[in-house]
Amino acid sequence: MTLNLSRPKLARLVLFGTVTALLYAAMFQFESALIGFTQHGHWSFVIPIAAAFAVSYFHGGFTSTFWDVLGIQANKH
Amino acid sequence: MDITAINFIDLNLTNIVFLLFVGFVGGLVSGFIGSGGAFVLTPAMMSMGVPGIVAVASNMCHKFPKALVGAIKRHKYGQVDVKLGLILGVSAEVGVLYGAHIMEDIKKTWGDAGSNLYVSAIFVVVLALVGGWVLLDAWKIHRSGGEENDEPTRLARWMQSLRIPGTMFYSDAAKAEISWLVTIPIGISTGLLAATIAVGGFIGVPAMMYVLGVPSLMASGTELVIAFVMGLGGSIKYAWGGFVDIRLAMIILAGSLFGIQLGAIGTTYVKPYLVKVVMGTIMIVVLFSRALVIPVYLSKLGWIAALSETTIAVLKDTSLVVMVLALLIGAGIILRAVYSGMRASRQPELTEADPV
Repeated sequence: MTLNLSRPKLARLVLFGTVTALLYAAMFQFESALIGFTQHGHWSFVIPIAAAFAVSYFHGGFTSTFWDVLGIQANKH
Repeated sequence: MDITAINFIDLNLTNIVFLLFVGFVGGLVSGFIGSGGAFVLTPAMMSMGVPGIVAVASNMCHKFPKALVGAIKRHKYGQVDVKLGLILGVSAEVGVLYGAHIMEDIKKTWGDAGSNLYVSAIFVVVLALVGGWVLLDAWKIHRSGGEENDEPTRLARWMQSLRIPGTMFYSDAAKAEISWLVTIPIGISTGLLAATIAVGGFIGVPAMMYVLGVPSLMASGTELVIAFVMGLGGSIKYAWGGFVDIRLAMIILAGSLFGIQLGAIGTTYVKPYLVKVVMGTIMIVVLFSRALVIPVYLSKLGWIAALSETTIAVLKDTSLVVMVLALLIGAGIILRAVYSGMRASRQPELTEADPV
């Protein structure tokens, strides 16, 4: 397997990976409060929905770059 | 706060690793065939002690962002008809709400066993009919050399020939004008199935292929848009009721986003008919999984002789194992196809670089 690592890709990998790690760290850090709050339902529905969008953006960006760096890219032929 | 007192389970490392793994495999399958990766998660979470409604809600809350990421990825490869996906998504949402209503009514009348029997029976009937059809079609294409004929079926040609003024739109995927009225039954059926067995794509993808004349790769890519619309609406509904366990949803999402990217990349290396092979295979194996537990629910309802606790446990465990097996078989076919496809596509580059 050949690594496909350039400076912009590395920067993207580190940035998106760090933000993703912080999001997950925050979730576990405030686990009880978060569950208590979201379990009330109603307008607290915004929290899981917003979290899902945030994770899909940052973690989605990280995973996409991750496979790219590993040389696993779409077929261009 | 004591989490167990409010019916959300305490997570340990084994649970987290298990959810990450199932999320990854589920994402891989969803990225490839447009759906079908998440159905194993609800029973898997329930086997960990998560209450049924929390498992369904958390599963749905991980599905819509996963579908969004997959749809964006596959859109880059030209495999998504956003307009068709959004139009189908609206009627699918209606199907989801109506399907949830049916489920509630059945549960009120016959209890948990009746509701489980209904889900399993729908699984078996739909998977036998649609899975058998899809697999047969894939087999025919394989026998004819693996080249898929993208010509629409006779039914699709008839659908495309319908002209209903004021309702026509151009579908990039079908390369034809279609009336949004004919998409309504497909969308509603997709939503109904999603509300019942959590995988609407088992109807949505084949219906797009055989009824609307959408090529298989475009159909599986477009299904991700429908899954996003349905999942977002369903997640808001469940989160409004306070049923989403955000930790479960985000952990599964962490694994599934790795998988869905890989599954989407995989579609660019394979012959389109492989989507049908993977989908048909998973559907038929899952059919057996659900058929195994039907006697359990019939027995609980008193419609057949009572089964012993041991028999019930064996049937349920075997069913879950077969379901996981379905997912692993699908993932195995995808990974193998991607590996072979990547090797084959790099061969010319290697040959050019080294003419010897």
